[in-house]
Amino acid sequence: MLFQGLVGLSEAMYLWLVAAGLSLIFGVMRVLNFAHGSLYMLGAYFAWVAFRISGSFWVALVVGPLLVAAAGWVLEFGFLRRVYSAPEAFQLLLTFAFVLILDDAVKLAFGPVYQSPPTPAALSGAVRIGRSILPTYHLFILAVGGLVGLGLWFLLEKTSFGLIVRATAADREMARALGVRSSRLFTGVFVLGAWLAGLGGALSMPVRAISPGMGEFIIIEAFVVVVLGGLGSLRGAFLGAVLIGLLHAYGLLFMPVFELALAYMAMAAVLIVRPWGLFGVREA
Amino acid sequence: MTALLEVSGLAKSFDDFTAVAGVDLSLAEGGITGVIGPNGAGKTTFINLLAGKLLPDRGRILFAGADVTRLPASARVRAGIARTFQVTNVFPRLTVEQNVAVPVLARAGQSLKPWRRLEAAEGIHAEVRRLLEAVGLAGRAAEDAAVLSHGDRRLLEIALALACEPRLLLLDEPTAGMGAGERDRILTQVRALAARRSLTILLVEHDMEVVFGLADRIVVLHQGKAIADGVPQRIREDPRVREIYLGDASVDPLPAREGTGAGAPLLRVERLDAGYGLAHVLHGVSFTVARGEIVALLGRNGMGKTTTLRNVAGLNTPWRGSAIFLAEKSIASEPPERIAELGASYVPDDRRIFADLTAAENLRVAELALRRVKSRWTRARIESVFPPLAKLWDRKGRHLSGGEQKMLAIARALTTDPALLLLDEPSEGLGPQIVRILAGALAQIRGEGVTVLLADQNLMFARAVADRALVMERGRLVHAASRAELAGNDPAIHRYLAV
Amino acid sequence: MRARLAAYVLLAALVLLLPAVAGPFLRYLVLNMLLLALLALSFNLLFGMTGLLSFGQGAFYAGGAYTAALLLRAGVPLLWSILLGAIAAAVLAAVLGAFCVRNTRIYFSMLTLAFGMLVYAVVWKWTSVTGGDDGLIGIPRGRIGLPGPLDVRLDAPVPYYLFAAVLVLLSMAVLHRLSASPLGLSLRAIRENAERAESSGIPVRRTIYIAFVTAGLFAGLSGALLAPLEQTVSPSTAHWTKSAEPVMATLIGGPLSFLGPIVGAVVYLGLKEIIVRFTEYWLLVFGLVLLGTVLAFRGGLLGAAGELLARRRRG
Repeated sequence: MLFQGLVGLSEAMYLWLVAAGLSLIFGVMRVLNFAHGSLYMLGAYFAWVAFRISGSFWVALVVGPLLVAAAGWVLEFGFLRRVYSAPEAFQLLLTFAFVLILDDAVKLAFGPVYQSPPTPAALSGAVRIGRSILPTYHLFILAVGGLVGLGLWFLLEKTSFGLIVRATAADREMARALGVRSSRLFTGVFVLGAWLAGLGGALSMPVRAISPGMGEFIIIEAFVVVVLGGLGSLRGAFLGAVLIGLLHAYGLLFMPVFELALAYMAMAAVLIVRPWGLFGVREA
Repeated sequence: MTALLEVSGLAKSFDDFTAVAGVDLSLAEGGITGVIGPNGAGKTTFINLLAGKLLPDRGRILFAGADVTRLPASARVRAGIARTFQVTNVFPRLTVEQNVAVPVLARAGQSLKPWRRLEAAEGIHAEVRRLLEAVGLAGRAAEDAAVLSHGDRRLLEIALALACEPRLLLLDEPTAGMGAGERDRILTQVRALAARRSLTILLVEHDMEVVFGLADRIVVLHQGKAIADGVPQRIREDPRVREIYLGDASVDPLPAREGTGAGAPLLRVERLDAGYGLAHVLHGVSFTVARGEIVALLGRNGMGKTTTLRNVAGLNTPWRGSAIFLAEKSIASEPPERIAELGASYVPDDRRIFADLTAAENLRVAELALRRVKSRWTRARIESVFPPLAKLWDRKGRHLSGGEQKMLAIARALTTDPALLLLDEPSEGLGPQIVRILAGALAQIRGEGVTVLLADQNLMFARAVADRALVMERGRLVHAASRAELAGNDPAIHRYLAV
Repeated sequence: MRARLAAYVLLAALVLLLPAVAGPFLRYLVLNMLLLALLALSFNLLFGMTGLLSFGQGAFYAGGAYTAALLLRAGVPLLWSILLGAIAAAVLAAVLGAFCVRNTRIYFSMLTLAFGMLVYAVVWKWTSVTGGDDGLIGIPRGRIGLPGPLDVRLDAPVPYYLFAAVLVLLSMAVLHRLSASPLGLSLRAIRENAERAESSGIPVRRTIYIAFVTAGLFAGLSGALLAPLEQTVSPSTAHWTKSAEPVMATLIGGPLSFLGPIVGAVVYLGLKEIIVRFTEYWLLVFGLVLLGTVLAFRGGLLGAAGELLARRRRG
């Protein structure tokens, strides 16, 4: 029982990293980034390449997400900002075009085979907690997810950058009238969101199979998470991810047939009561 | 005879702001009733409550004897309440004819028919023709609504509302953003409609000439309450109404500035034409503001004061041919963040405090945005200008009162170290005590060498603080008054500002 | 008007006469184009007409396909299996639509996507009924299910092509009629300005709901026609990559005209057929095409053609 819960929580952390970036970007820029799952996938591939070259898991963990952040910069600066004035359906479609491009580009570059690099030695053991034995790597993921959550909270609530971000998210026009260079801020937020997705992907590299389709799975789940938690709310994204992770873990245990469908049912249930999500703001 | 519309105790709040605070109103069948009131009086909220776009917190709306308080908008339309919108609201990529066919079909109960062909619906066709002829748009039936002029679109909007065959027509500022010729066409239209006995019209309008020319009864809203109700003549003579529009005379005037008008121009606006979409709001506005001056733009609501300030601040882009210079730098096509950097800071009439940030954080945003961490306007200095803020720094924006938000908004703008402060409606909706603090603050702000351009409809406030005034009427500067003229009850100003 | 009607009749005749001149490859390709065109038209009822971007048409496509497949395997005659498949998809849309139409814009897109994947998850896991990952195989075509001499056997490819083509063409005629009907006008009014539509007396939410269910019905029909064509159904029919096909076809053709999705479906599958000969990375190419469309040609092919024509006329 406890074991399942911890496994579910650690699985939830990948989802949380992706959903956090997705929600952050939406909250500030009002753009729903369909390609966010593809950035997660890029994170895994870039980290894998970095691992092959350097031989060090830790180098891969740093370099992979940074490369994804750079890709995020290209996406925002080169393309997305050209469609900010278009109807939002077209912004969605532009990011969707990148899903297709990135998925196939990765296939082209690395082949469709499922790659499975090793878990680093330091993290490949197991820890005994009570009567359960838990893989160290799962605990490591949990710790990283929690740290990122704290870090994001600190960044947004306690730093100057966070203050500007919150002000711009609340009232972009007024922030600009006070001198905030919102287009630079948008780029910054998008790059940060991309980095988060990339980190999720890099972390998943040793334990989950790397494949070109891995982004598609997680983006849909991330959508469910942010709809559940409320678009633009990081707290909502965290709780949503934890909820979905636990649902999967216990669903697998008790109702294996419906395991995949449980997340969607949870989303439907929340939407009946609160169409704007658990922590979202009601649409005017 | 029972009333057509019977509103009792209607109230609506947003967060902790009460927009409509218990309005009673009874309308008999026929005639035009005007609703007036200064900005923020609750007029548009009131219309939205009647039309069903918003649901009230309290109160009841009886229409033709039936309770419609909680009906959705589309059901109210079918019951006989139709409306136009403040901002033009048509279907841009449908033809004029199709625009009108939408409500005509709804009226005929056919808008969900999936099979009938539009062309085959004879009765519908005739009805659409008739309506277009009634508003004089029959010649443009096949054109897309998007290509119509602003005035034609407003006429189309009236046709859309009429197509619902309403018994009660709610007109929300039908002449906003119009030239004189277009305005006259609308007025003729509305008069012709009112002549039909079966139609009752409720008109919200800022243009007093329009309201007093059309309405046979006027209701004055102020701070969400109906404070006067009667025939136009009585409203014109009502002292309370005068006070609302001209302001409270109890503010002490500031000492005169030495050497008024001698400074070099800081702001130069030349032939400013601007508006929103196709609505042409400003027509060739030109003026200068010298360094160290406090200049007031006066005028009733909807005359273009806010639009002028927003264009200077870069929040709207002026139309081609306009020129704006700040300290001799052309800023007419600069983005707002650049204009803020060049030294013009805007304080909007609705304050726009970041509601989830504390008062201190609101200032911090302004400091950080331009990296003016060492602003001349330190916390201590701001507290000396606005003493009440000293105790409020840790409070969230949403928990500040209107007056406190106003002070904070000005303080926030000062934090960007501006050479020019653009103040939109500084005294609006504030009690006399806060207004006095504001007037004192402006003296200190000017003392620090900051130039101020303020827009207000409150003559008394402008008289107390401004070195001179410019009067706007329908998007044009129509009158300039010196400090002496302001103080001497210039009859021209009264004519433009009072009801 | 009459010229346009003549053009439609001519095109329909071409489609129906095709088997007389074309081989099995072209016949199969054209039928696939027709099915995608119908799916894209159903999508565009929501997107181009009403302004709602649905990413979940695959759910109804699969709903139609699986229902028809199960009925056919149970021995129900072809026509009835297919019609019931479409109706089952409409019922599914009626249930999911109750959630989706409460929200608009981005929320609508995300919800349709997520519910589409819910259907995918169910299809994938409910092995006892759907065959799970393997799908359903060995779907018979058999008799059409009409009385007397009309009860033809459709096992051979050409009769089935004609049968499916007739159903698709009829559906297109119905959808065309709908787009010019009062309901069509109401939908376009909602796209242009939902608030004004509501205050013109149109019950906006109910109208969108009707469009949603109708779109589900025709997406389901398209899927139902696929099952006997392929004689297998797999979960990929419900996957969101399937839902993305009508999106791309519509954008390529142009969402603002009735013909746009049809033209787009033809171009999409035609291009795909060509591209896969050179590279297996055809999605990459389509991603680039989509990128170009969104950045430069938001009106699609027909929109661009219309603009070109208008410019010529102006001189």
